[in-house]
Amino acid sequence: MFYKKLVAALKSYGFEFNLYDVCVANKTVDGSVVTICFHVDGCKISCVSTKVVDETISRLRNDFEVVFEDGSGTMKVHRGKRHEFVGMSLDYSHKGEVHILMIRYVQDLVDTFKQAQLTLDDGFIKVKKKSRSSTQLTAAPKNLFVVNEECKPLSDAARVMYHSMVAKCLYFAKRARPDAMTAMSFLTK
Amino acid sequence: MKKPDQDDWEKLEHLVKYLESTKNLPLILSADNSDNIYTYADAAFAVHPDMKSHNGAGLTLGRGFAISISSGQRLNTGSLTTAEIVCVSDILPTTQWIRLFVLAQGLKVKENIIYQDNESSVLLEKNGKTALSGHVISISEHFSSQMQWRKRSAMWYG
Repeated sequence: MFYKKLVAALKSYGFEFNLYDVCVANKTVDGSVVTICFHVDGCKISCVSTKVVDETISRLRNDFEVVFEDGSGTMKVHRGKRHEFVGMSLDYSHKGEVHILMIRYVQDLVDTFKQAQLTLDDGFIKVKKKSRSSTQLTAAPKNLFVVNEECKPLSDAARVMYHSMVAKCLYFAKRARPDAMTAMSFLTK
Repeated sequence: MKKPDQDDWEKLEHLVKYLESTKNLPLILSADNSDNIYTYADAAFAVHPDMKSHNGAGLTLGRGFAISISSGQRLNTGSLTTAEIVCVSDILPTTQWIRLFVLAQGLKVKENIIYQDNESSVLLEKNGKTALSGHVISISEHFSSQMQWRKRSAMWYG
């Protein structure tokens, strides 16, 4: 429903949708292209000229802002070179580049993992203190694809934790860390 | 994974530790001014427990992989060359999609290049004449040579 409304609104502003991605729309204003990418209800508007962006924002605000009595529901606008969105920080401050970082997300992820290790560590998920080289700098351990048949399956609680952690890592790897993809594809398999 | 075991937990731990220690590394994406799309594709032969191979690929417009793919193959192959062909076949739809997407954004695409490190595979993909038996392989080869023929992608050995 919201999608349909947004699409209709953008079309009425003169935006043309990219045929190959339904969440990207373009419009040419005075020779410069405005691009809107959206994810559910978050929009990223980019254009060379700030005036055009202002204009688009005010039109969107006109049509979509619904302020409730308690003051909630105001449309949040964030301008500038650095943006935070669903855990990602997008940094456009280097010319022609975008830097994607998810520091806080990883910190949360690591904390959850450590917490899980503490609570679930009933002698079962004891991490072997074998000589794992500390200099190994890849996301995947060397034995990633080696399946040890003798290993005991995880307990139910640990399994739930495992799946939730893997899902979190997958989200992170998909967005900001393609180097972790190999390990992900094995762990999710 | 339906039944993760202790080993898997350790692998996960390794991953989490790696991510923690490298969390300050950003993913940098940028485009050069060549108007080309580069795809690097490679396959690791028979690394999975069921002897299937693994695909790895990245699409870039100059710097940083905007799309990166790491997926297991769905069919068993007899040799690395075959696995590499299957790999290219698996990633071709993505390379074609990004080309169409970039064109629809009003930008130019001069060439859409796939790089591979196996010359035999590249030759088979280019010529589409199959010396290997198997229906699926022929389709993959046919697909890639058709794309090549329609000048939608170029194959490179390198």
